[in-house]
Amino acid sequence: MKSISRRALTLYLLIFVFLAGSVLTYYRLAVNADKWAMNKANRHLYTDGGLATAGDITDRNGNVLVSTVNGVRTYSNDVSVRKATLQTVGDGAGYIAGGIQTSFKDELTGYTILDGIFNLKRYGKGNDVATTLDSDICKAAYSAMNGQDGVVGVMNYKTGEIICIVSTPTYDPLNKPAEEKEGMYLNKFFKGLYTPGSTFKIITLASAIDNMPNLENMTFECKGKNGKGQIQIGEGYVFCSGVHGNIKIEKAFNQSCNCAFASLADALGKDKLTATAEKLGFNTQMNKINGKISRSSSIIKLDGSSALDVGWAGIGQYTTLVNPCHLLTVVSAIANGGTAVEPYLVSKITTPSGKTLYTSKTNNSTEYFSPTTAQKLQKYMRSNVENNYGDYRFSGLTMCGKTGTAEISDSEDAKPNALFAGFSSNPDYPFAIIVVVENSTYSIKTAVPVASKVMAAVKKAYS
Amino acid sequence: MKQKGKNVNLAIMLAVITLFQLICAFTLIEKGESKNRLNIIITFAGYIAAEYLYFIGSRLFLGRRSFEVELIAFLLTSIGLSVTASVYPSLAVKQLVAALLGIAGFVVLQIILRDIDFCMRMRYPAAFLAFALLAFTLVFAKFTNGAKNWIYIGGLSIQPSEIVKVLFIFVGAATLEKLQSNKSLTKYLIFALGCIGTLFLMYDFGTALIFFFTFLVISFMRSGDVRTLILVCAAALMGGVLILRFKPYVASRFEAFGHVWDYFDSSGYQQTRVMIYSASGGLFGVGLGNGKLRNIFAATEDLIFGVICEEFGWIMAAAILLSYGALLVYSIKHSRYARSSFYAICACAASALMLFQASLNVFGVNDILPMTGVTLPFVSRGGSSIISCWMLLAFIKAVDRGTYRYGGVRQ
Amino acid sequence: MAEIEYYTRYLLSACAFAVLINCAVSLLRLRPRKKVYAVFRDLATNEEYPITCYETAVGRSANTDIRIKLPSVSRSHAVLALRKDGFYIFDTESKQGVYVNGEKIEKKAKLAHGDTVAFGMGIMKFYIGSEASSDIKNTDESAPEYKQYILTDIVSGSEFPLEGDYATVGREPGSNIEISAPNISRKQAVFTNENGAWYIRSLSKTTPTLLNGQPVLQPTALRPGDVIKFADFAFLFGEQE
Repeated sequence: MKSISRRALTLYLLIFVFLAGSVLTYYRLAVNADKWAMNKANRHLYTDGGLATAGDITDRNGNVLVSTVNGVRTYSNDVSVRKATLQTVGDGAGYIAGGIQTSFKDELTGYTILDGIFNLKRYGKGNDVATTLDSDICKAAYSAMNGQDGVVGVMNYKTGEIICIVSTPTYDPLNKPAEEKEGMYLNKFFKGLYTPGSTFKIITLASAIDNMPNLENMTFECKGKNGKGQIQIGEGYVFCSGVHGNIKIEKAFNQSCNCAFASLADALGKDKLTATAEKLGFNTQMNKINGKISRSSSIIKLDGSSALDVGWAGIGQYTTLVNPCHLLTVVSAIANGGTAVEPYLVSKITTPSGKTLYTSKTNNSTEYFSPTTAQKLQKYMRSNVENNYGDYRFSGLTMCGKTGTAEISDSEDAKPNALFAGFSSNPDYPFAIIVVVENSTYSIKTAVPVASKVMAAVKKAYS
Repeated sequence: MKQKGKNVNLAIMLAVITLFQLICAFTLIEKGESKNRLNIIITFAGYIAAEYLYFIGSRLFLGRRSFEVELIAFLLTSIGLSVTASVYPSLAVKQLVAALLGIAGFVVLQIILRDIDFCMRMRYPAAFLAFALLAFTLVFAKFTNGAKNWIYIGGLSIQPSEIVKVLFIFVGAATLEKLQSNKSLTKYLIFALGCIGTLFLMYDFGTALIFFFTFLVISFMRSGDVRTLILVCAAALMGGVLILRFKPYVASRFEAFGHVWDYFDSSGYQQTRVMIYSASGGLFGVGLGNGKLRNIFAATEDLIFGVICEEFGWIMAAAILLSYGALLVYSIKHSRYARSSFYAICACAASALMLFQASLNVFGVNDILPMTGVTLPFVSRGGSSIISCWMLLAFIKAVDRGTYRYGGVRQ
Repeated sequence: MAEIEYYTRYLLSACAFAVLINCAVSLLRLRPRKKVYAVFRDLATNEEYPITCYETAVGRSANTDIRIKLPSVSRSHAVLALRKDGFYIFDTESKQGVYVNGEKIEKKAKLAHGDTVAFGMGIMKFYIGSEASSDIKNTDESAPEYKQYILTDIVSGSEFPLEGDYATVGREPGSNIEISAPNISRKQAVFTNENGAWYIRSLSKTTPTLLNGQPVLQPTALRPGDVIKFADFAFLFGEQE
């Protein structure tokens, strides 16, 4: 029997292969489990291609933005709230990639490796996600946009809580339009990239403060005819919206003088300008919001650019692009004395049995500006509102800010994007705001009024 | 006969198994429609009764001590029975009858295997019967799901190739003196070629593959002649390549292999659903009757592993996988002390066959191997399959010399 | 109900896991105890081969359970099998055949306690049970009904009575018949007693052992009057008076 039993030993090889296959099966199952379980073909979670059974998403005041009632996904009963929060909350079918319903599927369905999706059977719902959003402010922001396309974002610059995100065009999830509009599935606050226009002057100014000790004594020249100033940089000209003559930096910032900032950028050179921008997070992969929601990175590329191009870049034109959430983080850092806080959207996740699975924390680790630079920038941005935009628009908020009107096409008929980035320096209202109105006119006429209405709503909500 | 290692405590194990079955039965009764209650009660009562009859009988009247092999089979069968009773309550009794027939076959085959001389004499008739069954199937079967392996007799559907598995091993095994007297594999090779060829003509490639694998195991155990087997494998590989080349629709069956997610709604449909719902189950499952994979085609047969992962959880599924491996280890360890090389070959071939079939099934639905549509031993629904598995188990049981009380030894 | 079901899931998994893993572990650990059913004793070397399996292969090949490295033994010579009614020896198409108590078997033969089995020139005594070999010697000694045989040196007339189970011939000191000549092998030949019948088996690879002028290739039974020659030394086999 020795021969037979020796040959039988070879069969251990078969067992070994079988075990290896089993381990591989389980390894792939464990690694891909949540991805597979969250597949849209999973009838436990989806009916008719939409998420059917999941936990609630609430705003900071406990208002339900979406919940499951009797196996049906039910949104807020206020149509404006539904529209205002759609891109942030996300749709059940997953068209809106960065929505909470998509990014937090595991948490909302309560999926765990231990119990699978059994909690859905047990409680009829998954875990609840509490957000930092304030649905009233979102609603106010949505109505302030008044049908225009663009973005409004408001965050607490001390804590990083995002209290308002509105991205338009939007739609009512209960009454989805047959015709799709471009951008309606996109959360532009996280995913959008815009030419910054004059809002970039904040960064050019920051670079100048850091690199030019003599900045406040410098005089800039803005000369021209027919109400348009111009200055020669390198081989060509940078144009200005007005003729400002000889002006100092503060006035140039107030008036948003292109000639002054183009010559500042020229004097700084592309390396220093890029260095400042990169210190503020340009050209780097941004952390995901709550570790889940990805966002676009702002881009500045001046390699091989001519002096004229750098001049244009200094006033926020050329190829530079910013992400609204990122620009909001930059102005928040100025408001917060130079330290950037990590923005977040989800504050807490609780199980149906009341156990807290996750609580977010304020994370302010990155120094964007030195405290003195931040203080100077605050001063200049405050001066903008005081001297140019008007304090009456932001009563009681001690608002600081900078507008921008970004030309996005060389064509004469093309309408510019209007931007406003600012913050309240009143310690009672530690909020920063970003507004982008697409296809607009001068920002002072469009973006600033939107910001004014939203900040009024913020002030009302936190009084 | 005394052994090293400890036997499991039969009373405790039987109590735990009964608890398992009672929980399953109550869950099904509680959840199911009231018209199915009687079916479920009959199924579980009949099964538990058979279980006790078997264990008490063999403990008291045969004085056996070792029950691990049967305990595994009884539990696996009851898992399959629970799933069947849950998905198709009306077919539960039918499945019970098949399981009881299987257990009866297990007992009868053990008795037959007692007498080695009789077994050796029966090898030619068995070979003839195997051929006859397969030829009969080839002539009378109609295409079902792309394969011609089912015959229908008076409302019963039978898959003769399952029973031929038992004969195939029986014919292939031999006592040591037969192996030493005649080392040539030719006769068995011709027999195997006949069986495998017929299965190919039926388009039952999964079963053909199982037969081929079993042939390799038996031939190797018999002769240890690796060179011939490599030649046979090379020839088979060439044959396989030729088939895939000239019969592209055969190849198209396996097109999704390796990237089933790209064939999400076509030929990867079953595999992707198995993965989705297995993942949904988690370690402890969503509970018997709460699954969704059961609504997919062939859920209780080819996809049963996914149903178990989903409804009973990954842990139980892993334990099932391990027990197939344990059966083979057991056969290997006992092969030296078996009453004859006949039993050693039978047991190793039977347990290797089950392990291989389980691999094809489990790795097939998880996209580690191409999906061939074979059943999971003991667990999948299907009368012929369950009978065949229980009879194969008799081979494993027979390798243990403790199974039979006589030894022919002057004590 | 969902709460009950929630915990039942754990219980179900625990039940199935407990049974399957318990049984699987037990299967992995169970090993039949080695048991000696019978013993073969090589009469030439006195080596004992315990029979621990139901089927035992005998031959020259490394694959066999009892390996006899003699040229006269086929690679797979025979199989000893324990069947329902006792032990059988099967000749598995060996060249030299299998002899039980001096008789060549056809295919198979049942073996009894104390039988002598010859595989080519490998001659073994077969004892059923694990420690029977010593008993057998005693029973053999107390079996006086056997005829006594004697070898007579034809040249010198010296007599060598054959006693016990075997007698060795060779140059080696301690051989029963010691022949100190250079052309005699250390182990030239062995005479074996199988139930009273005496056999001769040649052990030398260099010097042929001749029986009545024919070389001894396999164990051969001796009859009174036979002449056995080792090189130049000739002996007459005869009954003792």
